[in-house]
Amino acid sequence: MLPMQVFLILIICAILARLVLRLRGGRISRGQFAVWFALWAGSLVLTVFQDYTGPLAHAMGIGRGVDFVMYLSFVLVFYFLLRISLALERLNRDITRLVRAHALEDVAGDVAAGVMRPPLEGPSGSRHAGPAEETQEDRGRREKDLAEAVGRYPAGA
Amino acid sequence: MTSPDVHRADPGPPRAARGAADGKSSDRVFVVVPAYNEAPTIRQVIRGLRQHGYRNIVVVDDGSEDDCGMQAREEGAIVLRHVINRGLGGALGTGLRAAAMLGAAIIVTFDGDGQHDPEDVRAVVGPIAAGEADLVIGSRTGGRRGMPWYRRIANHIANLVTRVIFGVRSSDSQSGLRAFSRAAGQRIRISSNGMEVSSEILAEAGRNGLRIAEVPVRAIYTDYSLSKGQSFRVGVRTAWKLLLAKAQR
Repeated sequence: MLPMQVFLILIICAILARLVLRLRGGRISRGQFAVWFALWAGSLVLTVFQDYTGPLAHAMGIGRGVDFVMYLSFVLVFYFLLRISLALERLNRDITRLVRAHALEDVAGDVAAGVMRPPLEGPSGSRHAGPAEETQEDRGRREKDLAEAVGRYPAGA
Repeated sequence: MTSPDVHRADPGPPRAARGAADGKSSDRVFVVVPAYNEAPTIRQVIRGLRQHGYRNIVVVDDGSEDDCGMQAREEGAIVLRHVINRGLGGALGTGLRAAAMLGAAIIVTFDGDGQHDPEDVRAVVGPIAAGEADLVIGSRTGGRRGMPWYRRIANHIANLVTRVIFGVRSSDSQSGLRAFSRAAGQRIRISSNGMEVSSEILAEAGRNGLRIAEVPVRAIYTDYSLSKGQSFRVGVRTAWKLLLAKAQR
């Protein structure tokens, strides 16, 4: 066995052990554990039995086993980068919803207290259909947004 | 996806013949001004709107580091403050919600950098007040004098990207001057944070089957307003965010 193989096997075993600890600590779900465990266990098998990567590469139309591993790594890295981008985007949106709910609370409070009651006379002199206070619908949307954004991040997670 | 029908609406009487909006009808109009570090222009923008008869001005101070929020309040605007900067999309989403909560019948979005002419609010409001449209875009394509060539190219690319990704055709998808009916303002769900919000609004309007119209408006390009808008770098980031938004739909 090559020294590089030993080094990689040690690193992968450490990662697998860490995955198990994270699962036991409840920091990742069983589904997440299964995906990551399969990925790293597969890497371990390919590292130990690297002679098998040659035929696998030939079957895929790639010359060398090491090239096959490299191509596979690129695809996986780009896939996970996309996943991270999407997760960051969702996190950003949730932060905005919290910031928005905070900003709107002031307006909702002022409207409820009658401090903010804009002139709403229509052209004909009659009051137009728009309400002068926060409607049930508006309040529902505001509270739902807040609950959804907060609910995604349970305390202690 | 079929391209929603975007029609050219009648912008109303010629500019010279337009006066200030009549007091009563303008009370039903809420103008939302997103503002991030707009201290150099915010007073002028609010005064211009008030001079044209718009009394309900909602300024969303998007976590500014300057005192533009305080200046806006001193000028009589309703000011909402984001505790941290969230970007144009975040500010517009908050402004639309606030205007709906306050009872707006028509909601106008108006940039805080002074690039819009308050006279044009009447033009974008017209088709909604007449019941001909749910969303009206103020298209700057007629008055591109002063618009740098790179900005013009960026606008064309943004229009193309919006059309390809969301299937909505617009001559000025990135215009900040728009008007929404109350129902449209409530149905359009803004979830993006940055400049991509302009395309998202069109996408949401298309998805909800809203009637979209465009009217020509004038854009006032100054060194200041040009420094605040889209740059090439921001454009690339916006296109990437639009792709992510499409992936999440």
